[in-house]
Amino acid sequence: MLFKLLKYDLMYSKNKFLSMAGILVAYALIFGFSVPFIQDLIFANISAMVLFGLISMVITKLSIIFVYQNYAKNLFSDHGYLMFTLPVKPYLLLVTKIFSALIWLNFMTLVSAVAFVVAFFGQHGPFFALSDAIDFLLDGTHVWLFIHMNAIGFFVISLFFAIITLGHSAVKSRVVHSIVAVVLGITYFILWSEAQGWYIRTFGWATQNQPLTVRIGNFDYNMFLLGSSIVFGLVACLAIIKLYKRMELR
Amino acid sequence: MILDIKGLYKNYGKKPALKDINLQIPTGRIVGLLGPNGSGKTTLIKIITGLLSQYSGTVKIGENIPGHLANATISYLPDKSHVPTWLTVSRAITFFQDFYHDFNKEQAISMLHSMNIPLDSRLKHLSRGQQEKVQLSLIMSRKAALYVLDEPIGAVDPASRDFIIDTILKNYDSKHSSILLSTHIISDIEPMIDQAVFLKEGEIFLQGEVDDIREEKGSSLDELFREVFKNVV
Repeated sequence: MLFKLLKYDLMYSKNKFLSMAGILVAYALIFGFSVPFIQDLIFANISAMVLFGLISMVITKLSIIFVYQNYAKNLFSDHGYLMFTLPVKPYLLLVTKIFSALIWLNFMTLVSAVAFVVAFFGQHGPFFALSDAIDFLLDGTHVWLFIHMNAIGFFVISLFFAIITLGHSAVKSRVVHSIVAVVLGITYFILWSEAQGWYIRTFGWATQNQPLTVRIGNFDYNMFLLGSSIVFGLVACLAIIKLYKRMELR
Repeated sequence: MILDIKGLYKNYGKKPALKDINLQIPTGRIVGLLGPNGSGKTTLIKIITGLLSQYSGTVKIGENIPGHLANATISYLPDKSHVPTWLTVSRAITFFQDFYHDFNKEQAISMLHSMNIPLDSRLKHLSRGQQEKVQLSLIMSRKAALYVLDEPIGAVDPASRDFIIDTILKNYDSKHSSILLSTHIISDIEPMIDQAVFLKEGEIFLQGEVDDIREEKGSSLDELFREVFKNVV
């Protein structure tokens, strides 16, 4: 059932995210191919990077809006009458939404990274740069970064969904309820960042000196920083499932 | 018993929405849940389908309480457009086939063909009436134990009402299923229902076999409804 739910969820959001990815790719290719014809490359690079930064900011904001729409509209509007009456356990609806958001987070990060490398690091043209970009992403250190990004992504997305769910669970005074939900969410986020900060302040930055560090191959993986994000995310998910069970779709 | 409700109470804040509801529906019955707007019909239906979870009393659908297990046996038509409108009609059929084991795809396609609804159209490109017909076709193409239809004829023109009632009756299997149908338009559904439940201000005001009520009260359900709710409707 999870894969079926995920299939329809990705189908619903694919046009929006693919369009944004298309804009990034088109921009990277146009700039990448223009490099041999540009006279003042330093000025062009700075201008292009500023523009790339602006596009990335807009795309990040749109992504947050699309993830919000996908969650809130699909579950708490009229469509919720279909989703919450499907013969599936309610937690699967949440798992689907988290997986879907993580898939798009990874996809957009990957496209942005590749587009950036193709546009600005093409020594011998954009297609050679693409090969460099793939080598960069497959490097072991960056696999660790990828895992860590997903753990943090899982926490942030779960917290985001928890705030939305709490806001929608109000029977009356929805505005007050939503403000309380946001304040609780910010407090929970501060707790998470404090837990990570405490660990780094206590044990320092060097991974090999920190407790709960596991060496895999040539790389040190810190399980506290990874695990705390997952645990904080799981607690937010449990709160959402609890709210689903008390949900009043009116 | 397909539906068994005992001592059901539901409040919205301090305001009571349902008071001491007792309702049993065996197999093979078409039950009309009748009452004016605000009488508690939709609240009762939402409790049965698991959309409202805060209540007291017992509600059983077959052996299950409202929730995902019960949802496998309930085919629910809400009073809203609940099927996502970005889906094409054929994709909506596939959606129902993916999630409901009792869904009959051929039956759905046949019903939609008979209504001249193009399968490759997105729901958002269809008229509201066509969207409602698509939803009804999907709901009635399931072989569910209980069909719960919330105001299926409430917002359609008289010609469409006949079509909807005809569709419900044609596709309902009285040997294995029952229908709970809410409405405030009595005259159109009176000939098809076996049992009537009158809701007034969240309480069951009157319930029984339609023939018995007619005989006892000496009037049709429609006349009785108008009399009872003349100051409410």
